[in-house]
Amino acid sequence: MAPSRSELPLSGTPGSPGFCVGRALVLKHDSLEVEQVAGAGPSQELSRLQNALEQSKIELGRVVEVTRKSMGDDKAQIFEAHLMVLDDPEILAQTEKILNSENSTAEWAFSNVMDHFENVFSSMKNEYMRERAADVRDVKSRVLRHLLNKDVIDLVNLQNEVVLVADDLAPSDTATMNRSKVLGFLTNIGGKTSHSAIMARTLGIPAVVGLKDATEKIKTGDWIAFDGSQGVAYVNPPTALKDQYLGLREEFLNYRKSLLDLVGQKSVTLDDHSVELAANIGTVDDLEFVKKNDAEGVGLLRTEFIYLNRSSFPTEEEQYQSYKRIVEGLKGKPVVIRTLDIGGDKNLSYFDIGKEQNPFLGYRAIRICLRDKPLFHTQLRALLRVAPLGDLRIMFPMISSIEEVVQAKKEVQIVKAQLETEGFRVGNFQIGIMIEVPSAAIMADELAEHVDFFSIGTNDLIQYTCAVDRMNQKIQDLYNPHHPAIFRLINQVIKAGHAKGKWVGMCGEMAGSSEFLAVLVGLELDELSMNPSNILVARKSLRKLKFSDAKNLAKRILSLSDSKQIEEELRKFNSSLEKA
Amino acid sequence: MISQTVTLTNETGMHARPAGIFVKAASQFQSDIKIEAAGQVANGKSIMNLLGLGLEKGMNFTIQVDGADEDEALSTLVTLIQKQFEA
Repeated sequence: MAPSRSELPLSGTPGSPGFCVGRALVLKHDSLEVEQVAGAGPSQELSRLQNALEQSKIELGRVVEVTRKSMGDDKAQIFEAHLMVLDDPEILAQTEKILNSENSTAEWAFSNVMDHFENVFSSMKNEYMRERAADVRDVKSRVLRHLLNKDVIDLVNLQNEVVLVADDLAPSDTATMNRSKVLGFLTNIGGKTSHSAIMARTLGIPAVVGLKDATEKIKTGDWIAFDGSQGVAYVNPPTALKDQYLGLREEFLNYRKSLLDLVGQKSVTLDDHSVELAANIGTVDDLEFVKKNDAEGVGLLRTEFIYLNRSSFPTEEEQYQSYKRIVEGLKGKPVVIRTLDIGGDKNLSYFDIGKEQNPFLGYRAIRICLRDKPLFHTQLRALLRVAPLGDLRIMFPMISSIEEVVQAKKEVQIVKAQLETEGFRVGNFQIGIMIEVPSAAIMADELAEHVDFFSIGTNDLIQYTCAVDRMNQKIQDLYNPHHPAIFRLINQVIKAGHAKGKWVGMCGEMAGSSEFLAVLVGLELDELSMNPSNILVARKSLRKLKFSDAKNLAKRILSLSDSKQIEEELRKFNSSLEKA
Repeated sequence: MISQTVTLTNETGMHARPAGIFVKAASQFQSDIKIEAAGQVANGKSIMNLLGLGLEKGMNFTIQVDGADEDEALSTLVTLIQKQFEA
């Protein structure tokens, strides 16, 4: 039954474009507090617990099976560990002890036992072990929900189409959810570059993020209508509005379908200037989206996926197998693979970076790799071994000086020589760097001597150039891609690369935004790498654009000194292009 | 009751995966199995007890087995540790 409340729309940050109409499923960590009251006697309470454990086991067994089939063994392991906890004989033994001495309820006794285990883990020195406390909590809440007759929601088992409403979606949520049933996301926290937003764009489903209190204002079963490109969500909208959104959704889906006509077409302007449209991907599973959206290559493979969600560093062979699948899957098209980019907001449970005052200015990415040779060499060996299988391009992140590039290249040579003495034929590959630190952008003319290509990472470049933390919602208005300094830096980097005959691409969020397509083409970027779901949209716009007009636009933008004027100039140009 | 002291040599120490393998193996036997390390004692058939010891690479611990199938249990578990949990 849908409640009949109808309220002012909630407003947040546009996360992923598209219209969405559907019923809400609110993922809320509601309180599972239990009180100490008298139970129905030890033996009866114990058998209630046994029942709840049994139900939980059956459920988790199903989750493991579905996860393994749709997502592979790695993801299934998380839930297999939960199953082992349910089988732990100490749970029953200790719960029974409490029941016998206190005559309490099963939920009270069980909670105490699990809290004890959770405390043991959360007070351990080792970070990996501390994180196991979350597994204990997860299992505890599943069993308690059964004891308290509350719903247990397993996203992997979704049966009906829903709009997910959550505080934020964790990678384990998006990795295991039944994608065919999720119509859209609404989240309380996060910005354009949060995991939830990026994932929604990858899957091509609408999302609004940063709604602050969506989980409070929305109840499971409420009707939701929202426009992901506007950042506005209606709860239980009037019928007329709901119908209007259903119509818009239909149009949106048709538009999506019409984009498929562009599969197989060239990415060229009206006057035959071609730009490579490539995909940013994060896992082997994303190959599906690369193919579906007809990407001309992979412009950014984030290798963190191989390192995350596990308990120790991946071996050379594990890495080799993953890279191999991707490089072979691209069938000779270019694949830019970025070496490990941890630190900042991405950490590995088994690798302690230590507490830092400014993680984004700290020990991260290439800075770690150049100081931890075994870690770096293992990845480089796996990468060089896939070189003969396709068009491999290795890219180093967070470069801030020439010395770092020289040293990183030296390590590549060491590894290459090792492999060759072992009998591997390494073959050809390119080496490039990300330009995301202002010092690198400023030194681009010198850096170009040492590399085969540049790829501009706008997310960090903007944050470092404007000195604004892109995760800080209070100052999000200062995180400004229209800042004239950004266009000057981008222009300088492209000119510097081209002067030395090197290709220059872009793999930050700006590259996939239709607002910036024309000016970036006009600045003469050779490649734009973006979320796969944006590729056909970009191709469609590109094919309506004249390179000569784009170059004039770029000239005008570079002459402006105010970000508002830049925004206005782009808006004017884009709206005339849309009418064409 | 019989017992033997062993050293943990695998890279990650007693993480979830090795602990899971150990507990599965231990649970096949009827005997009581206890793990003692640095004055703490854990039930060898309990994954949470075992993880709670926080055993890291290079640490020593004692496996104590008491019951009808204690000989076979001890040798199976010691071999498992020595082979770094590979079957």
